[in-house]
Amino acid sequence: MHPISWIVVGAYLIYVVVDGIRRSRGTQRIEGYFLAGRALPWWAVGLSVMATQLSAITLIGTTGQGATDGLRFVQFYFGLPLAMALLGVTLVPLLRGAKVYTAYEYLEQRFGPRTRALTAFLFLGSRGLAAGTIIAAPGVVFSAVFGWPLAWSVALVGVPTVLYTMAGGIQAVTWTDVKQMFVIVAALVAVVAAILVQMPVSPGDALQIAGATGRLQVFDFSFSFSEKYTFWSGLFGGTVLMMSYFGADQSQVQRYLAARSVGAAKTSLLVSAYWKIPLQACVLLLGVLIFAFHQFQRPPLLFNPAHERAVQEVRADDYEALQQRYDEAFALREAAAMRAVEAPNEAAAAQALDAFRIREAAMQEIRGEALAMAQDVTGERPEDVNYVVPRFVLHNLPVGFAGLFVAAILAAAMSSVSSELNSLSTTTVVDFYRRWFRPEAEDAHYLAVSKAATAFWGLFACGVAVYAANLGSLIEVVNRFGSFFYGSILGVFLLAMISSARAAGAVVGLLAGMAAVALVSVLAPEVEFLWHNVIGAGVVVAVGVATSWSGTGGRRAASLLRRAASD
Amino acid sequence: MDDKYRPLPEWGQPPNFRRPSQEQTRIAVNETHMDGRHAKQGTTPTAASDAEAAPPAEPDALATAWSNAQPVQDARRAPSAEPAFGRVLVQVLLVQLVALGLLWALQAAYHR
Repeated sequence: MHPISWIVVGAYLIYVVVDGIRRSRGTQRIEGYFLAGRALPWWAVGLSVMATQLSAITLIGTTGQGATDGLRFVQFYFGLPLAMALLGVTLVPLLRGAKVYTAYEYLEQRFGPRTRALTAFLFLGSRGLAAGTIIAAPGVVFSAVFGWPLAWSVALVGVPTVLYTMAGGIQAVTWTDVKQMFVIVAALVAVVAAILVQMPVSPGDALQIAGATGRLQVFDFSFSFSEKYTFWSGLFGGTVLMMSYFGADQSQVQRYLAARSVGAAKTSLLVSAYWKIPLQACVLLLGVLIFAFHQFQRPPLLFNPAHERAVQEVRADDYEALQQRYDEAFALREAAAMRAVEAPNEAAAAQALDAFRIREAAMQEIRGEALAMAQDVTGERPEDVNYVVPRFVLHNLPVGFAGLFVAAILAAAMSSVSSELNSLSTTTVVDFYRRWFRPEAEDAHYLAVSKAATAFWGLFACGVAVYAANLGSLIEVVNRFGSFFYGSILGVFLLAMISSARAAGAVVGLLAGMAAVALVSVLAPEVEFLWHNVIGAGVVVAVGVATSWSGTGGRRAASLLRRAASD
Repeated sequence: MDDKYRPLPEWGQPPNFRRPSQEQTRIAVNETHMDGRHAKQGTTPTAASDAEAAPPAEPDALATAWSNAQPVQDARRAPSAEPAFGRVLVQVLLVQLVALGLLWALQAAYHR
């Protein structure tokens, strides 16, 4: 990368840390550190929530997914506006009214300490690991692209984030999130502009080429439990997943608890509902445009530079032969694409697009052989979808813009990780340390413990990041593990809104919900994870209500029996 | 450690401070109303209210703190000019409809 681009990255890092630490001046009290004195404006909370959701995985993984799979992933977010509206009229007023610091604190008021401790513990376990995977994703890409040791890349994301989160608490997290959101959007706009300027055909022709490969199919109305992204799984599974995430996950709940009023909290959620689908569609469309761009400019045979280097070193002759076949296939595909673009009428265009599809399939076949070779040589998973956009950015963006995009990847990762660290620290201190060990101490003491907890979780996340990257599939394991109880925890909050639900019902329901999801994932692995959330929430509510009723009924029956016996 | 839930002291309050129960709060404000010191009826602070006033332990002081806190709270909220939830919700639905319509048009025009 050009030195000017590095200067842009360095300037971003220095600014974000200094600005974050500057925020620590106002946080002498624990309410300021965790909840910003409950005085944040709705728009800052809304942008901060969006920045947290937009992680580095979105910038490099989702754009890559757009390039390889097209737009249909956007269906995953179809339930989000509905989830936000439902939360705005149910959980948000409830949690704000309870004047709590964590969502789990409210569960103790409703169901007792066991439910609080169990849900808070599940949050700490899952979010601690998730924070590690959020750092790992850009860390692995930076290591491969720039050839750095993984620990350096992890430190580049982790150290500045821990510094400003530890110093400034949620004030620093929220206000840096707002600025990071602008960096991310600016970088996305820069990349789109660069593609459109460098594209040798018009945007309409580029979309025609992309559409011929199925990448512009957005809606899939088939009802299938085994299809990952459909309209229905997005609407039903997505609504429950988003309600779980925004309603029962402390990293999000803490944000609207810090808003200055119930109205501000509700409106802040709608900021995400407003922009999420359009923004996500734009991110995916960026990937589609990169795919179209690569029809006219030869893409690398392997996008992961580390794999490319390893294969060239170990099997140089085989790889060179494959590269020659790839170059020839590319020339044929480019010619077919140009014929489709220049076709004089509809019939000729349709015929040319058929020929283009055959050439595209031939190229993908050669890519498949190269990926298999990479797996053979490195022993790692060969998928290189996360490297499509970084390779494009580093080789095709003008000087300085590549630095802006790297800064945006860092911003996206840091905005997500800082929120995770702050909420992990809050739950550790409020739900465990203060609840069970030191219920009565001065603010200065809790403030010091909170900062220490932030540092601890930061170190933990960095450690997980290094191991997650080495183990490869751990990221997938963590995501699958998370889907075991996300829906179930939401089920407990839904149960809390049913007046007849009791503490025993909540605990039994929560355990039954997680067991049901585990059973489904073992006995019916074809059921996609979005449905796990629906199953988990449904089982918790059903079993929780049934247990509460049977408990109440049992006590009544015992009371009647005792009365009959005494008579 | 006692397993039974009891409200913890407010952050920043002395360690021996206990938040008054809703019943204490209700009695305190009703007494204030009977004294004729509270001009506006029905302004009982409840757990669901979003007020930031830290209620003191003594009922009379509680009423004074509440009436003192009210204008401060209003003044703090005034400049935020929060948009109404219902109006924003309608806007959100319209934006989603437009976005989905555009995506539908994109698919109809280019997907082969």
